[in-house]
Order: sequence, then C-alpha cells, then structure tokens
Amino acid sequence: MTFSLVAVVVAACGSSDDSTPDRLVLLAYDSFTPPDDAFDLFTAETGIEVQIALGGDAGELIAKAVLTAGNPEGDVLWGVDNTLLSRALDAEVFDPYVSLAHPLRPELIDSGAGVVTPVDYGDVCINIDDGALLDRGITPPVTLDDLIDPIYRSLLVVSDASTSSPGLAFLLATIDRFGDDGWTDYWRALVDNDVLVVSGWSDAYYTAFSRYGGDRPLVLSYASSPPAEVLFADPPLADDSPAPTSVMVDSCFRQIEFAGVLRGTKFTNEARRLVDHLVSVEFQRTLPENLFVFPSNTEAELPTSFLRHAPVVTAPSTMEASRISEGRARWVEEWLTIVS
Amino acid sequence: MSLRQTAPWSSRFAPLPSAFLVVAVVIVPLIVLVVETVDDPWSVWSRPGITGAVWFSVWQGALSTVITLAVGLVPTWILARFPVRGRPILMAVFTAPFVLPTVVVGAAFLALLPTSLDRSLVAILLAHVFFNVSVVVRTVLPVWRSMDENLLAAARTLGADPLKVWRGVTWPLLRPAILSAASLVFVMCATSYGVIRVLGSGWSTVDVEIYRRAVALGDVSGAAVLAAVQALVVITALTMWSRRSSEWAVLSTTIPTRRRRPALEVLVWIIGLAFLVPIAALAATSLRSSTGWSLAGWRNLFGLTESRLPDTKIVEAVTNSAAYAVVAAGIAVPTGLSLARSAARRPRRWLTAIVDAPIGISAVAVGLGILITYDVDPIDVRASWWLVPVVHASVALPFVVRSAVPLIRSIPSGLGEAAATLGASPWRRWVHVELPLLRPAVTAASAFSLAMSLGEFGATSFLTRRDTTTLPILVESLLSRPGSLSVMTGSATAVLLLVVTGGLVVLVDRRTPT
Repeated sequence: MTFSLVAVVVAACGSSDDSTPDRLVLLAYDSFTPPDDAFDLFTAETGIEVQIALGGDAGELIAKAVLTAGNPEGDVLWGVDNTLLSRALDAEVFDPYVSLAHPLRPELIDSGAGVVTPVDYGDVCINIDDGALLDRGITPPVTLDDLIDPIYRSLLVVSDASTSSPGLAFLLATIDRFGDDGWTDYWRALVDNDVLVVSGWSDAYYTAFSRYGGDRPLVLSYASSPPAEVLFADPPLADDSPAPTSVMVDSCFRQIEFAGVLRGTKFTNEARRLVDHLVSVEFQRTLPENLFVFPSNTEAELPTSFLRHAPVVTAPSTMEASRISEGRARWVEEWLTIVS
Repeated sequence: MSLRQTAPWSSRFAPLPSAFLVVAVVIVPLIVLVVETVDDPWSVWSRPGITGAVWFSVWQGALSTVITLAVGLVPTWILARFPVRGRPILMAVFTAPFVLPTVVVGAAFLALLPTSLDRSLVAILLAHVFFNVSVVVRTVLPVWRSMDENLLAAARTLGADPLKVWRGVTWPLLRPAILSAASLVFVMCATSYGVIRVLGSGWSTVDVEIYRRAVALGDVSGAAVLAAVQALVVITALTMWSRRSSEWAVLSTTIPTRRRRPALEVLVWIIGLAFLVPIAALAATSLRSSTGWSLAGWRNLFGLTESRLPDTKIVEAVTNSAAYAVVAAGIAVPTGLSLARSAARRPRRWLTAIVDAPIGISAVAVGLGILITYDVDPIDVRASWWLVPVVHASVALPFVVRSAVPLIRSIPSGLGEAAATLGASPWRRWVHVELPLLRPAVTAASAFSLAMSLGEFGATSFLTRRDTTTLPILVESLLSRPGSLSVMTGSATAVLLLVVTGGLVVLVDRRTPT
C-alpha cells in the first residue's frame, strides 16, 4: 500500500525530458570523497548541479553498472579501473567519450580503449612498517622473490583477490612478473611462507598490519599510503617529518581509474562536460589529498605531502585490458584453490 | 468460534500488506534476476569451493545456533522472571550488537582475541553469538515474562520439582518462541556474510560465494542460481519448522512478582558486561593514537578540530540514519503486526514463509534484482530516497513478525470477544482491549526494526544512495583510508552508531509498561 502510494507520488514529480537537466548524477564508489566545493565551478558555468550517488566498492559499482547497461542509475560513472574496465567494455556500459579538454598523460589515455577518460592513477604496493621490521632486526624486502624467503615468514598480509580491488591488482602483478606458468608456483611458495589473506583493504591495514595492533609488518596497500600516514596522523606530524611506513617499489601494480559517460543517459552533452570538469586542473589538484591518487592531468601539481612521502614508482607492473579480460575469472578461481 | 468465522474483511486481508512488501522488494527481484541472467543452472555447482561452502554454511550455522541459545537463554530467563536493576540498560546492551557493522565488530574481536585464535572457527562462532543473542533475548523474553506465575506456583504446590515444572509447564509454553528464535539464528548464521568475510580467512558460506561470483568473477548467472536455491531451501526449512512450533501458548495475564535474587542480578550483569567488552575495545580504538591516548578522533568527528580528513557531516549522517530507521519501522511494524495477529489466530504457514524470505535471500542478489526490476518509468524507483527505508522494512519484517507472534498468541482471544459481547465497537475493542495487550509486541518489533535499519542490514548496503550519508557508510568510508586519525574517527563513529541505537531501544523499551 505504502509502496504503491509513494510510487504514484514519485512518478508524478519525476523529471521530464528537458533539453537541459537541473542536475546530473555522478555514480562513484563509497570512498569517493571530493571536497564539498569540487563541483561549484561546474555548476556556476553550466547551471547544473552534480549529485553524487555512492554504490558500494569499485567491484560492486561495476557489477551494478554491467547489469544496468543501457538504462543506467546515473549519467557519469567515476572509478572503473583497468582491472575491471574490460567487464564494462564487454557489456557496453559506456557511451564512448574521451575528454580532450585538458592535457592528460598520453599513456593513460591509450589504456582507456577510446571509450573512457583516465581521471587518475596510483600504484598498489606492499607497504612496510619500518619501525616494526627494525625491532625484529630484519632488513626490508626489496623484490617479490624476497617475500618467499623464510626470513620474511609470517610477516605479510594481503587482501583477497576475489573480493578486493588491491588484492586483484597484486595477483595481476605476480602474473605479470612470473608469467602464466610461474605465478601459481610463486603463490604456493607465498602460502608456504605463511602469507595471511584477509577479506579487504581495511581488514588488512587496520587489523593485521603491525602499525594498527596486528602482527604483520608487511601489508598490501598503496604507494600513496605513506603520505596519508603523515597527513592523518594523530598526534599530528609536521609535514617534513619522515613517514612511519615505506613502500616496496618492486611490488607495485599500476591502477588507472577512468570516468565515462553512461550509455542511456538522457543528457549526453552535459555528461561529457562533466567528464571534462573531472579532468580539469581545478578538480584534479584536489585528488591527491582526498582520494590518494595521482592526477591524470599533466598540469595539476602534486601537493608537498606527495612530493615528500610518495615514492616514485618508475617501473610498475601493468597489464593490457584484453589480457585481463581473457584471464581474470580463470586466474581468480585458480588463485582461490591455492590460498584456501 | 463463530465470531472468528465472521471476522471483518479487515482481518482477513490483514496479512496482505506485509506479503506484498516482501514479494515486491525481495521475491520478484530475485525471480527477475534469475530469469534475466541465468544461462546455465548446472555449471556453477562444479566450480571450486561451492560444495565446501554449502557444507560449511550448514554445520557452522547449526553449531552457532546451539551456542547462541545456550548463552542467550540465561540472561533471558533472569531478565524475564526476576526484577533486575538497570533492566532497560541491559536490554539495550543485548540488542545493540545486532546493529554493529561487521567490519567494526571484526576489528574489535581481532583486537581482543589472542593471535592464535584470529580468523579461526572460534572467532566466527564468538562473533555469531555476540550478534545473535539479541534475537534470543528479544524473541523469548517477552513470552517468558508474560508466563503466568500462578501456573508455576500451582505446579509447585502440587508437588512438582523444578525439573518437572520446567518440563511440564515452562518448556511447552516457551517452545514456540525458542524454536522461532533458533530458526532465525540458524538462518542468520548459515547465511552469514560480513562476519565470515572479516573473521573467516579460508572459510566461506554460500552467501560469500554468491558475492564472489557476482562481484569478483562477473558470473551473475552462477550467483543467481546459488541465491535462488538457497532461498528455496531456507524458506522450505522455515515453513516446516514453523509447523512444529505452531501450537498455542496458554493464556496468561499476571505479571511476575518475584523477589530480587542478588546472585542472579550479579550474573546477568556479568554477562551484560561481557557483551560490552568488544564495544569497549572499539571505544579504546577510537581513543588510541599512534603514541598514546587522545580525543582527536572524537573532536574530529564533531568538527571541533582542524584536520585534513574530509568533513564528516556527522549531523547529517545521524539525521539520515535516524530518519531511515523511523520510516522503516513505520512501515515494518504495522504491516508485520497485522500479519502476526492473523498468523497467531490461525496458522498461515505459507504467508509467514513468504515474509521470512528476506532472511534467506542473499543481499547481493536482492540488490542486483531491484536494479533490473524497477528500472523503467513509472516504476523506476532506483533513485528514490524511500527505496532504502522500504528495503530496510522488508528485511526487518521477519524479525518483527517472529518476535510478535508468540506474544500475540499468549493474549487471550476471549477478551476481545467478551468486549464484543458486551457491546464494544470494533474500534473500542482495538483501542481499549487489543492495543494495550499488543504493547509488548509493538515494543519488541520496533526495537528490531530500528536496530536493523540503523545497522544497514543486507541488501540495503548494496543499494545506490544519492547525497545521503548514513552512519555505517561514514564508518566504512573513514576506515578506507590510512592514518591513525582515520581509524580513530571511524571507530568513534561506530561507537556513536551504537549509542544512537542503544538510545532508541531504551526509549522504545521505556514506553512499555512493566
């Protein structure tokens, strides 16, 4: 009863097919937290408000976008990354649009397959609690091979490749490094060396990592986590004090995030303008300290915290979308049989 | 009897709103998901891990249920039969765990348990007991409380020893409520998702497999098959179970007037305090900085300090959470009670089974199903603010009905008929006879509904929200970034969520006359 009554009311005040909308809906993952004024400029220029609709983590967001392809929940989607992009492309989630309004890193543009616009990038890497390792008298690991050395037995925690996006990225890093034939042996060796696999990033970082009460000084996180450790420290740390954690640069996998116009939006032109805004210098420079990613816009300067504390990852693992698309489900299932 | 046969149309149709709610929000979306996505119903069963997950769901669910009952019935008995100081506080303590975000409880348990037990079966069982004791307390306590003291006294006077009184009088009266609680707890634990993900490294239930297939492997077809089979099994099992527990309870009108028992009072407080330990651990996390103790997390939560974390918009989050909870309860309690009233008078097993469906259906499947079911105008409801509380209401409904049925059964049906014979209009009968008698049922039902809504149960966490932060979402978003201040503020938010829930439950309990 309530249901149908409200349905009638809502239908009655639903929007009509106007040529210019009052607002656009930007779908994003739950941890998308731009500053409050991030869209003020866009609204001032176009008269269009931006409503942010959050829908779970990146994986859930894509699962939902794939199911609703052609009749989307919003107009623009923020946050499909290169490990998930192929799924969205196969389901034709997006109306192809690559923003040329601002200068973007060319290598990022290429990985968007001409369908989506790269908005940021970052690296998934093993992080090190330097103090805890020092206390144990162990030198930090350098290469992925070090992690299967008995010296590092029971020291590493990673998140599940079948339920978390950094977990999947790390699995892809090992496949990139050891090849289709070698990665399963590497993971068997990791399991023999007592790697701990937990559900998601926050389980790994806030329950198993030695900095937050756990007993594992090596944790799968991001290259941008050390600056966050300084910025969000309590008691506060001076900007130039050293970060309490460091990054194992050899373990990194490059994640590129994209934004795209959702196929089925009634407002294609306005949605494209919103994508343009997402790669503008004004928006991009808020990204590092809010989302802990690097801007794709080459003119957006990095804040001091990143210049000081985020390592330069020169040769991260990468993988083509087509290879990920072809192998992902098979790899994840195989990985599950190894770790469980 | 004749009066019941000529029941007005309103009571004949009383169960329909709740059935409609569940069919529309849960069952139709699941069917649509199956019809639109399943291409091969067989292949998923041969995938790695599926049979293991089915088996683990069953035995772990049974074990969790037995332990939860054993732990939960002790405080239930004491709180039901004896005057206890601070009763409302204890009721809140036993109810609040139900709403805690599992990530947060997981973290609290991991902080408390010795490392050797981290992510073990013991951790899973402890967490299930912690979460579900509230189901036992909330379902069984009102019935036990309304048990006729004269009946027990009569049995004792006739020479029955305590064991005989229990077997001959107490147990038959309590059995429907206990079986009802047990079946709920079993389904909750067998379909456990969050606890297993956080605490069960290597363990997997069917619900976890459904999530894994739909989200990580992109195999929505396989996920839909698993969800449909799980739903059928759960609904069938609950229906058969309810047949066994559908006998009537004996009427009772007196209120227990026993003397205080200090030893039992101490015992129930000890159990209550044990339930506070994980919560205290959570509070400690909110105060622990990287060098010592600090209030920075709390100051930051309320915007009292300069920090570079995004503004928590705490007032908005609390308001949204509370508004959703109230709207959801406003839907779930009246519809659920009207079904419970009619189910209490005569068995409506299939109807109750339909209403039980939300507990047995994977949240992921419902969330995805809603997206592709109500997606065309004029029923494109995906963007509506009320979708969230409506889904909350349907998820809370089985708990509302199950906590109310045993209570309503224990109301003497003769009273209404006597009032009718004496010439009272249906309206007067409702206001002056039935409603006061329904009070305990309304209380129990509202507490469940509010708590479930505040904790963002099941499918609701999978829905897309527009510009609406709620407390659980705020916790998740704070705990998704590194830095001690993030985890302190996130834990402070979780504590606040608990306080808000506890506060609402106390408020509701106080409105019930004792």
